[in-house]
Amino acid sequence: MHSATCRDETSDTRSRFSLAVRASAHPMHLASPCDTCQAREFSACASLTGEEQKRLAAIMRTINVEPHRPIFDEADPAEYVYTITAGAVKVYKLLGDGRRQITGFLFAGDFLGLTHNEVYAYSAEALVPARLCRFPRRRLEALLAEIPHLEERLLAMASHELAAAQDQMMLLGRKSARERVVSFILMLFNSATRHGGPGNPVFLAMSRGDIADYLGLTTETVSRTVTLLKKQGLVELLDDRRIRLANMSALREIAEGF
Amino acid sequence: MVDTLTARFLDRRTIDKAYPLVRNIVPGMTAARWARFVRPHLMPRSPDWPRGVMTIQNAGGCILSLFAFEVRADLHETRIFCMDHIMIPDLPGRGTLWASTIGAAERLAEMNGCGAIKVEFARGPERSDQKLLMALEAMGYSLASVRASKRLKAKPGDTGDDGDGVTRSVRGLCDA
Repeated sequence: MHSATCRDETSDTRSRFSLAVRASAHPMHLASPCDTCQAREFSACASLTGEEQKRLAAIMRTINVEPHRPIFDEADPAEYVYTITAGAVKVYKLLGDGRRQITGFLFAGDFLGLTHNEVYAYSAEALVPARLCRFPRRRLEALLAEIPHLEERLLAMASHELAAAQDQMMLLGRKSARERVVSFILMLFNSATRHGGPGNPVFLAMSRGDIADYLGLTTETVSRTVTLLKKQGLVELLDDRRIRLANMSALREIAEGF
Repeated sequence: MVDTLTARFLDRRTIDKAYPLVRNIVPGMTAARWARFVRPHLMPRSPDWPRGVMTIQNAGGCILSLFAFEVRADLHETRIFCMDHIMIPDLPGRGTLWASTIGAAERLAEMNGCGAIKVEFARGPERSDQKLLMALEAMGYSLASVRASKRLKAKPGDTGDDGDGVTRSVRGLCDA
């Protein structure tokens, strides 16, 4: 079990996860971490009042997760829910035959922790160094009982995993590899701009293998398609896993199947 | 940011989109089986006796919950609104979602001149169902009716296994 149990650092029984995670509590007498959170202005937290934010911060811990380390595994007891404040995370399911199916990529501002009958419905793993706010599910639910209107606000935050998986279903419905790859790149662009970033160039936090897995293609097909887009002058491949969208209108037409 | 929740009918184009929600509620469900199950629910029927699948979507078009419904004749009430296959994920803030889902069902029942609403839970006492039952009771639903169900053994050759390791009932095949 690789659940994000983020134990007390003094614990003798550190899991392999605890080696990858640094947690810090934020007692109410200290300045709230929300005050300096870069994800705050484009996440649902932005709409919380100062008092609501303070109450959430009181039950929250910040955790840092190293790349390629699990945050939780599918079917682990769902003790926590998370908000990503920095970095990127992939969510995936293990299929019956042992294969892994990536069902979504989540970024700063997104919420994590969809469950079914008190266990996590997906596994989640950091793609790059990630920082998350971690809330104990039961304490969060108790807080909702005390502040009923918080419930509506949290629902807006909590649907990101479902939305990511539904985006994927729409992407897989696109027929050609080219349409899927271009749609995916535009999806990352849209996500980045929605989260307050410039969007272009697009940062690919995930490997081509992850992209292939997500799009239902082979890694070779993804690489070949990106190379072709580059040759056609539609994109430029930059350093540091960034890709510049050189002809946005043409890319949008491809994504729409024209 | 408080999401605006909207009730929309599921249509053939959005069957696949609803699949991640369904898979969340019914682990192991395949996309093919979901599509085969739901397609007949979307076939046009007599306008007097509608059936379909209603979804609750947020402002971004994400399907957050759904249920199947059918208006049936009833000896006591003339027309009743039956809802089943209710799929509401275990999300923080789901109370709002329950209220929207049940509210959509009630509006639909009213529009169709139904005298009562029957809600069916076929899967047994799962935790999420129990919470929904409590929510329904709080919304004025009576949980007092008696119902019984029994799992039947499928006949050899009638397992409905499509090679995806999921056994389907004979009725499920008829539905498809």
